[in-house]
Amino acid sequence: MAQVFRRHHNTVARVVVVGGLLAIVGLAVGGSAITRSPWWTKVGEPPDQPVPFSHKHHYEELGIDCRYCHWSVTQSAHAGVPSTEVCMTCHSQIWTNSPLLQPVRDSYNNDKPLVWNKVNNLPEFVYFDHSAHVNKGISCASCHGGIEKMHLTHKSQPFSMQFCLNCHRNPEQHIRPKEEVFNMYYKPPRSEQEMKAMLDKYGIPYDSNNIPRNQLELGKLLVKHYNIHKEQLSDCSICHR
Amino acid sequence: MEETRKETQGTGEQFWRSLSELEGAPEFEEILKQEFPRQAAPLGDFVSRRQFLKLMGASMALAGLSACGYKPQGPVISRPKTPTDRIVGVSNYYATAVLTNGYAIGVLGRVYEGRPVKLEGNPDHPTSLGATDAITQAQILDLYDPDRSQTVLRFGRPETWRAFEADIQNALGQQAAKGGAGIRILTGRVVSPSLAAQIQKFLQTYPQAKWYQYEPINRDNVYEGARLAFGEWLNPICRLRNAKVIVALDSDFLYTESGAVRYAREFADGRRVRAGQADMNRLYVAEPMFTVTGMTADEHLPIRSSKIARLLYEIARLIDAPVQATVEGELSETEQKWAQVAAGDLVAHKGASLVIVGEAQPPAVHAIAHAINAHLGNIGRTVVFTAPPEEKPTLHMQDIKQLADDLKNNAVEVLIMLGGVNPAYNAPADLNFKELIPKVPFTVHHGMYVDETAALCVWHLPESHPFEAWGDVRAFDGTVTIQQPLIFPLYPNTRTTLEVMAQLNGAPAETFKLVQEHWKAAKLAPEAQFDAVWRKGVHDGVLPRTAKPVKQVALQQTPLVVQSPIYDLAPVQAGVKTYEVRFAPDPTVYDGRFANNAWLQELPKPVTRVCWDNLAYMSLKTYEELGLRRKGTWAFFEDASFVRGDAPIVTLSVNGQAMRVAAYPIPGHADDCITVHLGYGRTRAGEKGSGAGFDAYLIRTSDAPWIRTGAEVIPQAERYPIARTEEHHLIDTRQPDKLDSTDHRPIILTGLLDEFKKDPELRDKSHRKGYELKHPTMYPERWTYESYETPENHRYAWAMVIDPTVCTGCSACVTACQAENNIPVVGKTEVMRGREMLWLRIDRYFKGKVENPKVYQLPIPCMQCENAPCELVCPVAATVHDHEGLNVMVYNRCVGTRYCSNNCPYKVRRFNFYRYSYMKSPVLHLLQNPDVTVRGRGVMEKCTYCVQRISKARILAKRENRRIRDGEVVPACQQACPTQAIVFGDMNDPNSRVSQMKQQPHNFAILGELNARPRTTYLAKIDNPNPELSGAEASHATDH
Repeated sequence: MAQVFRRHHNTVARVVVVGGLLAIVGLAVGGSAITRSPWWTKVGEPPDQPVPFSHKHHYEELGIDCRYCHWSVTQSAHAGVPSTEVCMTCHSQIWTNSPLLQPVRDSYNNDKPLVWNKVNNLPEFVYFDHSAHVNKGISCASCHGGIEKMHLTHKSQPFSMQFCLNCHRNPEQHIRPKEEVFNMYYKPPRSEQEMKAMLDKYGIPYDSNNIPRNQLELGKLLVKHYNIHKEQLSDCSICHR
Repeated sequence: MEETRKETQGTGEQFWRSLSELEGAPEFEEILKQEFPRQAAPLGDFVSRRQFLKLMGASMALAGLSACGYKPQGPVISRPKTPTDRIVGVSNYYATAVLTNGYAIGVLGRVYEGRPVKLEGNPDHPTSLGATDAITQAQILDLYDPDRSQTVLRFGRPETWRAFEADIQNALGQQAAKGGAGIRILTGRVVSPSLAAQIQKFLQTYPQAKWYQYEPINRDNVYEGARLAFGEWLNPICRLRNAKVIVALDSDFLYTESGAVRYAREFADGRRVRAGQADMNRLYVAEPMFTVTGMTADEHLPIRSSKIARLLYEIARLIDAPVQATVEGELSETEQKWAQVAAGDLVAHKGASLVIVGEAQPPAVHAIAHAINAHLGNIGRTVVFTAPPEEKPTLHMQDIKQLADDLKNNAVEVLIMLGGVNPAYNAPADLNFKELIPKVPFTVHHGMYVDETAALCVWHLPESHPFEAWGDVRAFDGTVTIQQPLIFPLYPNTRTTLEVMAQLNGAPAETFKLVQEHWKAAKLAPEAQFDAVWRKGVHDGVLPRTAKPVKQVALQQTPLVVQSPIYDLAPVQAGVKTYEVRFAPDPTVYDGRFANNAWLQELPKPVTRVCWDNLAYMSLKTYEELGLRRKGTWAFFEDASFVRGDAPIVTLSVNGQAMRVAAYPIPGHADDCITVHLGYGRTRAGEKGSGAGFDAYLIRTSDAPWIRTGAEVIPQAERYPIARTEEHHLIDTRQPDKLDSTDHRPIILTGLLDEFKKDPELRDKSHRKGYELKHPTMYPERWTYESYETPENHRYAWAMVIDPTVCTGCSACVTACQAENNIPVVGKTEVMRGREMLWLRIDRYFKGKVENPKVYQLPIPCMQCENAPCELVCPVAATVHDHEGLNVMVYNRCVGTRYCSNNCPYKVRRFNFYRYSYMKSPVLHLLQNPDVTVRGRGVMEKCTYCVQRISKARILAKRENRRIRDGEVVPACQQACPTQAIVFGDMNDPNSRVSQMKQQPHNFAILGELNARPRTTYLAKIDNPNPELSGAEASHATDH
């Protein structure tokens, strides 16, 4: 019987072995890159909405507080989508004839719900609670950062488990005084003086010989002050039930 | 039967769960060895190994990809108006009431976003005291039952209310001339004052019309018994807290009878044994078959129901109670002794004792009990009497007979059956309602289901669920609860009985208006204060001062002469051996009205641990005598796959009436009699209830509604598969180093009250050392956090203690757990394969002789072991510990290897073999608790200590910057427990209730020697038998 394998088959075999391994690695790396890309996670892509509502206009330009519309955020798991009645508190007075607001007026007048498209979505097995975060110094900006600049609302974070864990493992990097939670322009004080002024203003006790100098040190102080059990934050049962 | 009697074995007494365990059947050993013994059979061999591997490979590859997808982001719906009474995502609780055994029990309905998802007991309600029973818990499922009737039907064809109204007006118009002489209204027991007022108004318009009430399970005997003794119908209300000695005769006062939830609490309060507080009441129970009450008894006597009268009269005679009756029959030596000891105990506790007689016993027996209680000075102390809570008290059996006579005489032209009454199914067989109803030209049936009766009627009207409308109901002590709607009606065409009656009265209105106006007219409060009183009453779930006042009573005559003779009916009549049949309400589906409730169907019955069926229960001796026992074994399995657990079919035949039923031997049953539960064998109950079990109403007659003698038992060749759960999730109690031996470690620490008084740690018990909780270790203690920087910085260590001494095994906790945790129902076939999903099970153990064993109840949730064996074997870390000591199960990580379940010594893990949680009917989606993940196929699950409730409390406490208070986290099982046998809390707080329970000397861990360090521990089961009787029993045992 003639020889089945020739010399060049060695090369073929090597290419297949190495190439196969590379392909597996490539698939894994590429797949993971794709699934983390905004193209996949839809970060930065505003979905269609019945009314082109602008957070930039309402928050940044008009200075309306987050809680004016999302009033349940401090008391409930859900921040809540405002009822059209809330829209109409102002829009019964201004822009009363704007065609853009027609769906809002229809909803209010006909007692029909207004159906928006969800921007941020969590899987059903994740039990996120807004009130637990905003009452403990985690700002809207930590997850919905840049909303004050958005004309049309889009996701600002992918809300992958990695994103959540990043903060649950290192809350110091994101925590701020409770009073600053709804301030989208908050920056941690840079100088010792500013820091002292802020801590005094909010009545946060500190060691005057050891005043925090940056976010990390401030964060450590606040985590202790707010009784946040950091080690517990990455327990499965904190988010999954 | 000698071979089945293995008294005690090995180091401790043997506890057994089934007869095959007791006899050491090889089948039992086989099941014990396997984690999922019934898995091989359903798979079969239609999948080849190669094909299986291919499929597995493909599914693994695809499973990886599926995790990466971002799901389409659904809609967000904004309301037009902001609701002022609730916050989105936060549940509201509304007080209302449900009818369980014909009387109201107060509940708080948890309403999430407009849909009720869970019922909790109302602490302010006199018959709830914050707890519920299993049936109450399950009523939320009835609301969402997809089989509920939704449209008006005329001869089975859809019609409109308008058409019905026109038709009935026409029919009533014809009746008006003769004062409504041809009209009959049939309802169940009416405990709604506003409904009764509407019916009375109707009867004023049609003075010749008649209103009958019929409940198959009624209190005729209780009221008649009171009349014999005191001259009027009275409702006895026990004050069990004051009772030191309770003698219950054929009475299930802790479970099926009226006021059971309150009674269970009062009873349990009298027997919580703690160090330095060893005071315990004593319960004597004589009954034909174990009930929940009987299982809790300190002294249990199996006796035929017909002999109870004889037994009670003997007690009356022994204590010189002023009563005279004609008595026949003889007591056996054991019964005589029992009566003597019980009588002695009653006399020794004058004024603090109580004789309770069951609803099934004839009036004469009740009268004798009243005479005894009066003689002992118990009346006013341990039992009081009030007027009956019904709006129109009546004798139900007499009513239904009267109606049958009217029907037979063709006196009825318009028959209106309201509120789901179902005489075609549950009326006594001799009245033959199935043939009588179609004779009436105009019949109306109003109910939640198109049931057996609806099928015979001209009109069927769909009824609203009580959670969909306003109403008012009385509890068994008369307290009124205003029922608030918890949900907007699911179906637009349903109406309540109240609405239908108001319509017939020509004054239709909304239920709110009907109820409120009734109470305005009834002068609930002076007009100026009405609004405030009404609002508070609705809010609290209790209207003030509506309980029936206690009446002073005295025996009509002394001595009381009881006219009706008392027979002890001999079992052999006319040469043929006949048996006595005792009918009893089913422990879960009651009289059949809950037959379509899948939670109740799948709940293992407290005594028998059988689900989805009713059977003919009998003693082992009777079972053998009838030749039903299989080839010298008590094992129930026909083949090696352990699937066909089947029972022999017999025919019970009495006087030409007969029923088919599967026979089942149950320890502790009296000989020569058979217990059959009502409520099964329905033909038009709905998808779940139709076809399950056997119809016992076929042999129930109006003359013998409870005890029917002279039944012939004819064994049939057929066998019937039954779903027995007593051999599921078996805990292997053999010594780990001697697995081939029959040397069993005792599963439960037990002791007598006297032993406890001498040594609260029960050290004398030879097996106590097995329960030691602390093992020497060189590793650092992982779970103690004794140093906190500040109280706020405190870390919690959740733990649970269960007190089997007060646990009655009523299973309210099991259904509460099911409701809270979205636990799916799997169906009878899957249960037979051992796949029931209930996270919390109650293990019922027997100990001692099969004729009259002691019963021990162990509710088994996840033990939340500190050294959890399940965690070590999980290849994907899907079950891990959190910092509060919970053994958490991460569903989205689980790949379904089931290693954890295999390694769990307590067998508390449940696996989703199929998509059990898939519900084809969208209405059932409304039922799901939004706080708990709905688990899919291929995922392991188990008790979480209601982690969602812990989280909720933790978030609230964090928000308010404080610690979680003791008692703030109440798991569903603890919440529902009528006897408060379950205590949950923070073990790290030395002042918490759970810590104090853990410090009790008789606290023990099941299989403590495994050093899994379970967080769930138990108190020793303490019994308080009478030494005189136990001594007699010991000598009795040596006779054999």
